[in-house]
Amino acid sequence: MESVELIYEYAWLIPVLPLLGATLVGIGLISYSKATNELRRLSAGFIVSLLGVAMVLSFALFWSQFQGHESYTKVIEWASAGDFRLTMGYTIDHLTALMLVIVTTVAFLVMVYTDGYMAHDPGYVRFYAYLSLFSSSMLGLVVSPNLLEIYIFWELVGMCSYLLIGFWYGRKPAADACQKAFVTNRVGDFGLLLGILALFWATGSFEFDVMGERLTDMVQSGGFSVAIASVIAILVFLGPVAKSAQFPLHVWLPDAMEGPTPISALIHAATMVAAGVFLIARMFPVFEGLPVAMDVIAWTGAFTAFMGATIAITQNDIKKGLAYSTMSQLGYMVMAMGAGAYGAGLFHLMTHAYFKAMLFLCSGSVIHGMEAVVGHDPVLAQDMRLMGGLRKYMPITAITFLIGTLAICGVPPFAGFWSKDEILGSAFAANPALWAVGWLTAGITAFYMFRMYFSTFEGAFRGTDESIKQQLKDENLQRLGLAFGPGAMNPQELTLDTETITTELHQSPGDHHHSETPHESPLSMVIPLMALAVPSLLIGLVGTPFANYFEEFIHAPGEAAAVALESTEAFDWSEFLLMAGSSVGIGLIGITLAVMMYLSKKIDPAAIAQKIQPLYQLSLNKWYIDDINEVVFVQGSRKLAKSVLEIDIRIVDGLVNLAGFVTLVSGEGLKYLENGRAQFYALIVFGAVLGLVLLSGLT
Amino acid sequence: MDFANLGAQLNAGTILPEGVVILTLLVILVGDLIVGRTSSRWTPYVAIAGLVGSLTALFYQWDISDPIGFLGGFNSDALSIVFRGIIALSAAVTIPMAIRYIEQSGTSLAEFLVILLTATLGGMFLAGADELVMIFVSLETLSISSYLLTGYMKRDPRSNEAALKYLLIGAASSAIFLYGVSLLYGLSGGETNLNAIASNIVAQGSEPPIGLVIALVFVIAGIAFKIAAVPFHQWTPDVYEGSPTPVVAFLSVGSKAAGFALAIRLLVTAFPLVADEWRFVFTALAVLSMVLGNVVALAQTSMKRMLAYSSIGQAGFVMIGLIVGTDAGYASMVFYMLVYLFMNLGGFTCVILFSLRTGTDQISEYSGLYQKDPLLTLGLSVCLLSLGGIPPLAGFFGKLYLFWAGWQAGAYGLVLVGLVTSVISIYYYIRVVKMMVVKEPQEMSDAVKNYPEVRWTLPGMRPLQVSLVLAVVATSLAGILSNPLFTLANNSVTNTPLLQSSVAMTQDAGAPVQLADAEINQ
Repeated sequence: MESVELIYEYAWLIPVLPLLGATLVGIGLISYSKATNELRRLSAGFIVSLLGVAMVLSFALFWSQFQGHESYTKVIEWASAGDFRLTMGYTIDHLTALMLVIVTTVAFLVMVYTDGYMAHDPGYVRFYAYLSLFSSSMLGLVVSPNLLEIYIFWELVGMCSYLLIGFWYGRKPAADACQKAFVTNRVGDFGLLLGILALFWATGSFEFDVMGERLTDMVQSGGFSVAIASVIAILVFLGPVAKSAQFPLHVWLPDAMEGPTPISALIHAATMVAAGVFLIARMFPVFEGLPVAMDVIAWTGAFTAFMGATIAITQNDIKKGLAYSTMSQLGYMVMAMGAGAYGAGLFHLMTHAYFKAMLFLCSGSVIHGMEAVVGHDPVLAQDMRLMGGLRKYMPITAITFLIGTLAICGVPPFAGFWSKDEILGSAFAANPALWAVGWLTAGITAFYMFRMYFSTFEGAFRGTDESIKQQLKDENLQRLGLAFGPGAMNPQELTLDTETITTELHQSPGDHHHSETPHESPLSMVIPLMALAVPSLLIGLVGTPFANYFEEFIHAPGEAAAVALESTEAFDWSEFLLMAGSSVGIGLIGITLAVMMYLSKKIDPAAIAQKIQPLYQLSLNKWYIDDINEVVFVQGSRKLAKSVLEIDIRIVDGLVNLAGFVTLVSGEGLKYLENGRAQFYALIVFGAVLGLVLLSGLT
Repeated sequence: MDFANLGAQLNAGTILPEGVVILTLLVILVGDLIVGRTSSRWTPYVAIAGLVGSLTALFYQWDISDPIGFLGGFNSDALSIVFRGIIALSAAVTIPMAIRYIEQSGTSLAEFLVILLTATLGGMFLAGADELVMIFVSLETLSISSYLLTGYMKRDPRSNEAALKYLLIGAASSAIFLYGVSLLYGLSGGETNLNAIASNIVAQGSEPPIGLVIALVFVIAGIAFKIAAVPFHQWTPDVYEGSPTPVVAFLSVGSKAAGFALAIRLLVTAFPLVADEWRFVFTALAVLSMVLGNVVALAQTSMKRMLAYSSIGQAGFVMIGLIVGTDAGYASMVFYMLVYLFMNLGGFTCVILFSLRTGTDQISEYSGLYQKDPLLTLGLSVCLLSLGGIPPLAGFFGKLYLFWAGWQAGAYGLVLVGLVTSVISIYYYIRVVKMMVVKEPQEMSDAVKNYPEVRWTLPGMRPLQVSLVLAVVATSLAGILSNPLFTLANNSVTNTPLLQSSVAMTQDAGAPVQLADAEINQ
C-alpha cells in the first residue's frame, strides 16, 4: 500500500497547487500586466488544470478514506518557546476528505463556468487568480489540524471573499457590499479569536479533541464552571455566525450578491459559508458537552432558517432570493449541529453545496441571457419581473433550475429531500419546537422557490416590456434620490439599493447587442450546470435512512462507528413515513400555492400583500434588521466617534502635540550638547564617570 | 618542545576561527603588495571567503569539550562563539557594500580590507577574552583599527575630523577602562584571570570594598564607550557622519556586538559581588540611551546621523536583556543582535547605494524615490520598519522577546520606557518611508529627479545588490521563521556555564512558574 501512503504524504499539494497558480498568475499580473491579460485562456487553463489535479488527489484521498484507511496527520513545528509550541500541518480524516471533494468539485465546475460568464470582462485573468487563491485558502482551512491554523485560513477566505465581492470595485454597491461583508465578518471573527484564546487559556491546546477532552474533564471535575465554558463556546460560535450568515450577523450575505455570479455560487453558497458549519463540526467535541451552547446554536439556526425563508418570499432580484434561501438552508445545517445531528448537518451541507451552486450558476446563466435583451444593467437583468417564459429560450438552464428547485424543496428522491428529512427527524427527537420551525420553513421554501421558478421560466416573456423597465428604473432612481437627498437620509434605502447605478457598467458599452429574445448560454456554462444536476438528483441516495452510507462514513468524533451503524439498523419505516410525509406534505402545499399564484394566476399576490401589509413590509424590508443596525450601530458608532473625536482633538491631540513639541524641543536642545568639541565630550565622559561612582557608591 | 605539543597544551584549537581570519588578512596584505592595485578585483572575495571559513570553523566549535584555551586567557564557550559569529558575519556583510564605495573614492581597497579584518579580529578576541590583559589588548586592536577605518577617506576633512575625535575620546575612555582594570588587579591581589579575580575578592571578605565599585564604574565607562551608551555616546553622531558609510555599518553592529560580549563576560564573571550596582548603572545607561537616542533622532536631517542616534537607542533596548540577567534576557540579547545585524546592515546598504547614486544623505532628498528605484525603496522601507519593530518583520520579534524577557523578570519600568521610546522611534523611521513612498511626482527632490539610471553592471555594484537582497530577505523572513535563530540564541545561553551559574544566583528561591504543559498530539 505504498502508493496510498504516497498520496497522504503529498496531500499538502491540494491547497498548495491552487496557491501556486494564484501566485504565478498574480506575479504575472503585477509585473507584466498587459501580457498576462492577453494570455486569457492560457492563464485560465493553467489555473483550472492545477485545480483539476487537486480534485483528482482529493478523490483519491476520499476513496482511500472510504476504504477504511485510518486518518493521517502530519505537523511541523512552527514556533516554540519553552512549553509553548505552535504546530502547522495537515490532517486527513473522513470529514476532511468529504469537504475536499465538495470544495474541489464545485470550485472546478465554477471555474469552467467562469470562462463563459466572464468571457468579455477585462478582469478575466484577475478573476481567475482570485478564484484560485480562494480555493487554496478554503482547502487549507479544510485540512487544518488545529484551531489556530483554521483561524489563519478563516481570515484568508474572508479576505478572498472581500476581494471577490468587490471585484467590480468601480460599482458603488459592490464596493459598499464588500466593506459590509468584511466589517460584519470582523465582528464574528473577533468573537472567534476571543474564543480561541480563551480555549487555549483553559486547555493549553489548539487541538480539537484535546480541547474538547480537557474542557469536559475540567467541567466534570468542577474545576471550571459550566457557565464560563458555555460563554467560551458561544464566543467560538460567533465565528460561524458571521461566516455562515446566521442571525444577527447575516446582513452581509444578500449584499454580497453584488459580486460576479460564479462567486455567489462558489463562495456564498457552496463553500465559504459552509465553513462555519464545518467549524462547528470540527469543534463538536467542545460543544457536545455544553447543553446551553448547543441550544443557542440550534435556536440560532432555526430562527435564521425561518427568517431567511420569509424574506425570500418577497425578493424580486433572482440572486437576492437565492441568497436568502442560502441563509435559510445554512440555518438548517446549524440547527442540525445544535440538535446534535452531526451527520445530518454535514449531509445537508454536501447536498446543499451541489444544488445551491447549481441554482446560482443557473441564475448566472439567466442573467447572462437577459443581458442580451436589456443590456448590462444589474437592475434590469436580475429582476424577475422582467423575466418569464425563459424556458423556451434556455431549455437546459430551465431544466437544471427545476431540478435544483425540486431538490431544495425536499421532493423525493432529489438530494435535498433526504438531507432535510434527516435534519427534521433529528430535530424532532431533540425538541419538537425546533422541528415545527423547520417544518414550517420547509413549506415556505417550497413556495418561494417555485415562485422564483415560475416567474423566471414560465408564462410570457416580459423582457421587452418598456413600462416594467421604466418602473424598475424609477424605483431605482427613487432609492438613489432618497439616498442622496439631504435631510431625507432614510437609512433603509442606503442598504436597499444594492443594485444601483445604471451608468456604471462593468463591461464596455461596445458589446451591447440588444436582441428581442434571450439566448441559451455557451457550452462552457451549460456543461457545469448539467454536471451539477447529477449530484443534485442522486447524491441524496447515499444517505437514505434505510441504507445510510453517509452516516456510516461521517459520524461525530466521540461516537464510534458501530453506534452510527446501529442507529441505521434501528430504522423504523412508520416513523420515517410520518416524518417524510409531513415534510413532503407541507412542501406540496407550498408548491400548490405557488402554482395558483404565479402559474395559473388564480390568486393575485398583490391583493394578499395588500391585506397583510405589515407582514409584507416586514418581509420586504428584511425584518428591518439593516435599519436597526443602521440606527443602533452605524449611527450610534458615528455619534460615539464624533464625541470621541472631540475628546481626541481637544485632549489627546493636545497631549500628543505637547509630547511631540517637548520631544522635538528637547531633541533640538540636546543637539547643543553635541557641539563638536572633543574636549567638551571628554569632560562629559569624566563627569559621567564621577557621577556614576557617586550614585552607585551611595546607593 | 615542538609546536604540536605546545598547541595541544595551549588548546590552540579554540582560536582556529581567528587563525583563519589572520591567514586571510596576510594573504590579502601580501597579495596586494605583489600584484598592486589590480588586486582589488579578487581581494574582497578572498576576505569574504576567509570570514565564511572562520564562521564554518566557529560552527564546528559549537560542541567543543574543553573551551578554555591559552591557559585561561581565552574562552570559546557557546556565548563567545555566537558573538564571534555575529562579528565575523557583520564584517562579511560589510565588505560587499564597501567595494563600490571605496573604489569610487579612489583609495586602495586591499588596505581597507586589512584594517577591517584586523578590527574584526580584535572584536572576535574580545568576545572570548577571559583575562584582563587579553581583554585590553583585543579592545585596543579593535579600537585602533576603528580609528584608522574612520579616517580612511584621507582627502575628506570630515573623515579626518571624525577620526581625530574618535581617537581622542577613545583614548580617554581607554585610559579610564585601564585604570579600572588596574584597580581590579590590585584588589584581587595580583590576578588577571577573571574567575580568579572574582574568587579572590570574595575570599577577602563579605563586604565589597569601595574600590570595587570605583573599578566597576571605570570599567563600565570603557564598555559604554564601545556600545555608545548615553552619556558615553557623544562621539557617535560626529564619527558616524564623518566616516565612510561601510565603516559606520561595521561600527554599529560588529563593534557593538563585541562591546556587549565584553560586558556580559566581564560583569558577570568579575563583579558578582556588586551585581546590584552594575545592574543599577546599566539601568541608568539603558534608560538614558533609549530616551536620548530616540528623542534626538527625531530632530536629525541627515540619514547617517539619524541612524547613529537610532543605533544608540537600539543599544538601549539590548541592554534590557543584560540588566535582567535571566536565561531569557541573555537569549533575547543574542537574538536581537542577530536580527539587528541584518536590518541595520541592510539599512546602511541602502544608504550607501543612495549616496553612491546621488551623492547626498539628507533625509529630505529621499522624497519620491519610489518612482525611480523601487528595489532600493523596498529594501530601505523593510529595514527601517523592522528597526522600528513593525510586525511581521524580524525587528518586531526581537523587540517582543526583549520586552517579554524584561517583563518576565519584573523590570516593568525599563520595559515601559522601552515601549514608549520604541513608539517614538517608529515616527522617525516611518517618516523616511513616507517620504520615499507617498510623495507625488511633482514633490520629488532634486536628487531623485536627477536620479541616474539603475545599473548594476558597474564594478562593485553586483555585490552591493547581493548584500541588499540578502539583508532584506533575512529581515523579512527572520521574523516569521524565527525558530532557528531563536533556538540558536537559547542554546548559546543554556550551553554557557558562566551564564548558567549567574542565572542560578540571580534567581530567587522560587523556580520560574512553568506554564501548563502544552503537549501537542503529534
